[in-house]
Amino acid sequence: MKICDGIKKQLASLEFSELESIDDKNLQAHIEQCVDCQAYYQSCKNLNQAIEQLPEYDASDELVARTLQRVLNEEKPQSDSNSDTQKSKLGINPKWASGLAAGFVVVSLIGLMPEIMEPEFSSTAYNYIGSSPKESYAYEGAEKNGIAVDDSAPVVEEPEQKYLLGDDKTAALDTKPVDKIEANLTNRSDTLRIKNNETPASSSEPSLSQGFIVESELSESDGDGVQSYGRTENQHKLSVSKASKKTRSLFADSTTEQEREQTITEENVIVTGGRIKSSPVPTSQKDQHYRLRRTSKADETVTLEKRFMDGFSNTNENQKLSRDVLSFNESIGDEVFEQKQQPLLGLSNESLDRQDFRKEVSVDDSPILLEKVAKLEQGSVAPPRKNATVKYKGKKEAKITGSFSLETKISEKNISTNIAKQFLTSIQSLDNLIFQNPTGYWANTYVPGDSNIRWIENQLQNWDRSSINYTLGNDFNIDALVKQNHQPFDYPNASALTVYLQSDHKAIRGPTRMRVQVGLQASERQSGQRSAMNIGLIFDLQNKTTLAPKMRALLFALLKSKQPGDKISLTVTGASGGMLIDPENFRHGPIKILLNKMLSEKIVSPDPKHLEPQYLKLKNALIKTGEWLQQNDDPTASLGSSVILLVTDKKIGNNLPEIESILHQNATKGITFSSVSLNGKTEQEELDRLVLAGQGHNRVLQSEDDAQRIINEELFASSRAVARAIRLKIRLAKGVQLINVLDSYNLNEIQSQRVRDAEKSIDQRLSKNLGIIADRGEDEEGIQIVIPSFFAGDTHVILLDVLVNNPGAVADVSVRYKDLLYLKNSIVREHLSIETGEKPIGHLELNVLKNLLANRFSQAIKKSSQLIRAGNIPQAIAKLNSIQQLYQGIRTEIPAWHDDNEMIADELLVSQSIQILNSNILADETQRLLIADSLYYTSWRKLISENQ
Amino acid sequence: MTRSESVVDIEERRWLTKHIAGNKNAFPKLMQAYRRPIYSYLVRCGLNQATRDDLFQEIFLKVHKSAEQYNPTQPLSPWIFTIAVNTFRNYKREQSPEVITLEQSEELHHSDPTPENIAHFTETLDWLEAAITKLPTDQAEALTLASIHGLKLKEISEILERPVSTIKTHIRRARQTLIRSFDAITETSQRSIS
Repeated sequence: MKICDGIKKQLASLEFSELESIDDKNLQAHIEQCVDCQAYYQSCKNLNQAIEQLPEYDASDELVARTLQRVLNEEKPQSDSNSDTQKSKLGINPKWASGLAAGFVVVSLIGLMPEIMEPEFSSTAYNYIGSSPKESYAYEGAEKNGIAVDDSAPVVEEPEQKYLLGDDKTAALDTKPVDKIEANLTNRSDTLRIKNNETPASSSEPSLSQGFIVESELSESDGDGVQSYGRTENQHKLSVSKASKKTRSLFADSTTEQEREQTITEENVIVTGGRIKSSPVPTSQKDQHYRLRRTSKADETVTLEKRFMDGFSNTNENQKLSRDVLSFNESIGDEVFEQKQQPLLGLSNESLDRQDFRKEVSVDDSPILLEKVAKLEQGSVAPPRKNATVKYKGKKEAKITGSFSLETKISEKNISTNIAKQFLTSIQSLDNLIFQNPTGYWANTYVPGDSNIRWIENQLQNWDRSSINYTLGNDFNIDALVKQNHQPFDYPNASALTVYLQSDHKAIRGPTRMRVQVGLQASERQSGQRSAMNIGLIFDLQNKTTLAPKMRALLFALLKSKQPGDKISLTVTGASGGMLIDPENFRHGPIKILLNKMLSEKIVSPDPKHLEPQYLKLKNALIKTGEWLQQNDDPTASLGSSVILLVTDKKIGNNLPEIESILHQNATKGITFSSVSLNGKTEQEELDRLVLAGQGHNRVLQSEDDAQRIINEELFASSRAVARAIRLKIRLAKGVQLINVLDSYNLNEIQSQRVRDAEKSIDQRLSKNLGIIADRGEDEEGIQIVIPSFFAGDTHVILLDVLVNNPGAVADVSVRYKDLLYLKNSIVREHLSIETGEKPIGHLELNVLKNLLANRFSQAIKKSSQLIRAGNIPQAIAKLNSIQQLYQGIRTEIPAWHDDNEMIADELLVSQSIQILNSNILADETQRLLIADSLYYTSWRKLISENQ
Repeated sequence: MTRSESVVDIEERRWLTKHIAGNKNAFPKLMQAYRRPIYSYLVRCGLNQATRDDLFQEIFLKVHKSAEQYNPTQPLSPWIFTIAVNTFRNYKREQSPEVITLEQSEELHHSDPTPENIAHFTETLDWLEAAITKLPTDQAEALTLASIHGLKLKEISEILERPVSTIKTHIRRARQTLIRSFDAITETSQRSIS
């Protein structure tokens, strides 16, 4: 025991970082062998984690302001010149006095240089403390140059919304929490880690797409009041002096520019001063990297270099990107931020499709010199510049008309359809709105692996489409081609999950209806090997003879995937039912014998009212299997490793609520329930309900060939998850009213309680077996959505339809989850504010709108599918026509989408469908139903991640 | 890249120099960066709000007044925390011992959690906050600076003016106390549930 005392002492002495991986081999070896020390080591790690979760407390803004005022009122700290003077008083040789005096003058001048060279620092101290810090850049004289920016309105310094709902702790500097910094985001397409000294970007700033090559200066404004999005280099003026508050940088609105500057400083220093776990300098969330170089020349020109990167409308996989690394090199009197270009690993810069563009911006209104511009790539969603002549891949295009305005102002080209206009009007309409309470639990819309869909998917894979293809004159493969829209979300780099918050508006003047988008992005990494499983397999079958091949396929697939440590039992319902194979005997021989026996028995449908005593009902089989699993359950094993797996071809019937309750109770004890349906779609709804209660999955076995896939999915389900018990909380600010959470609904009390129980069970289980401290059990304010598991690489978008009555704070979002990659509790926060005024929307806003359209697309296709099933072809065609026209009109209304690949692809899918529906192929009922399934599958696939 | 070499670290080291030179934005930046760490430190010293606020101001005033004594070749964080720790110690010397409170959670006033709130108690971090404030000052300081504020042992030894080995001992003892405390609470919790 003395040895163990020493070991424990050693463990308790280790630095926090050393605890994660112990270098001392002797120590490591002892821990592996000694249970007591192992437990102590785990306690140390748990304590470490708990300490890391401790909140940071913040002084009130009033206190900080008061303190600052006191500091400013105090005598300034002495400078070098004064100390020189003091030294002379201490008896320095008078002969040196004149030299010292000269030196004093020189030093003073040097000291004053920052004042000359750094006008950005001349702003008041209060820019950074508490009050609205927005030192915005705005267009200067932009209206002269044809950019209809509303400079008549005062540049509003957005009221400080960082304390969104008066909750100091949660909202203070919420855009830059330590946890968010730890997310260490990188661009999805960039495998190269962004270096530590790259400046972060505000989450709300637009990610710049490839720009347009601008040939000429902007012409005069056409006076239609349409807000332009960008401006050509020739008209760009950037003033960094505070005196000129109206200057605004290109492609960035005032808020984001200032925020980014602040972000550069505040976020970085928060990282330094706070609890650091990962790289102290956060990486950029988006692809913009600014280089601000101020020369020491007397004309004080500021050279602004930008590299445009489009990280999220990158639909062309062959595009090569280079990544800029911002390094920071500053010296007094001459601040230079140097931008270093760093190609991606294995890729050269020569093949870059984009070019740098550089321009010089003068603070004294001298014109801007354009050196290079970014080139537009096909299919990008770059916002247009008003009245600019655009060169697209070497060809001169017609003038770009004004930017998209959600106020449905007609562009110069005036090409828009009524449907598109109606759509745009309808999504902004304030008439007859019905509001919902933005509180309580709402249904989770992230539901990967819908069993019904798997059934359809299988059907479609086996579909002989030759006749349809012949009729179409082309391959009919909409279900294979459909894809979720590309989302501008970077994979998190040092956590399992991250969140993005965006709206389809940038600024408003008064009550405005808008969409708020919450985007979730999981890490690509999976969480690891699968753990040993305890599986209680139950066969509840009516048509054993018919289904014999499938039964056999499943059993032998399970046998094949069985690993040492797995315990699998088989229980069969019905007459002479019971656990017919125990884990000791789950082998080839006994399985074969049992199958033969089962198939040779007479099929007798029992009279439910007069069952033999030995007749094992499903409910009892579930209870007995649950008890067996609980006896054999290892509380230290992963959650999801004790499973009841029901294989059935029957309906559940009247016992459904009772069984649901049993499964729910089991799940709270760590025993999940999954099912495999052998009979297609008939009983899916019931099984879906049961697996929801049992925190498992429902799968459909279409054919024997599918058995191995299904078994592997079940066995490896837990390892694909990167996050568990994801609790999403969305709080709407005062003055923001909820119209709807798209595709979701408010849960009733019973459903809410189920969600709470499920969450708590996951929480406690993970606390026991992974050491992730339990931290759940409380309801929170706002809309709460609990997602049991989130899988590697997945993206999910939640859209809220809201009415925002005033500019300012709109919402804040927090996502708490159990990080299975880093084995900790994590929380990510974002908040959203909307400025005052009228501003053209940018890339990110368009992404929200596009997701809304995708939602409409999905609904229309689904409806059409249902109409086809019902035999109502004309209405199905009409539905498809309307969505096609909507897309066409929208692409015209919004020039940024004119050549959008994704939207064009979706239109093609619809075209194909309309073409087929107009053909005589529908006379064949089988084909008609398959076409309906194809559309149904397409509607589902449009909204989910490719990984699923 | 070590923290001392990070871009951020280099950036913040220049603040005081700029502040001395008359840059009006430099000190606000510094305050903004350190307001939370310093205030968190004061909270965990177990002070009431009024005292925390007073010391908060005093610390930053001292930072301002001592700006010229700061050596920009060294990291800023340990230097500021040295001022914070000394300010707190001076205050303690002048005051009689205070009742330790942590206003953020009422449950923390329960030194022996009742069965009713044990479940909540252990499922939150309140027990940890309470346990830290009950640690001897030396241990609490060392643990807080190391684990919460991310300072290195050498830096902490300079701040607290103790040898590194002593700091290690303090941290070790603090951890051992906390682990014992948590185990005891968990045991009580399990007994009450069963």
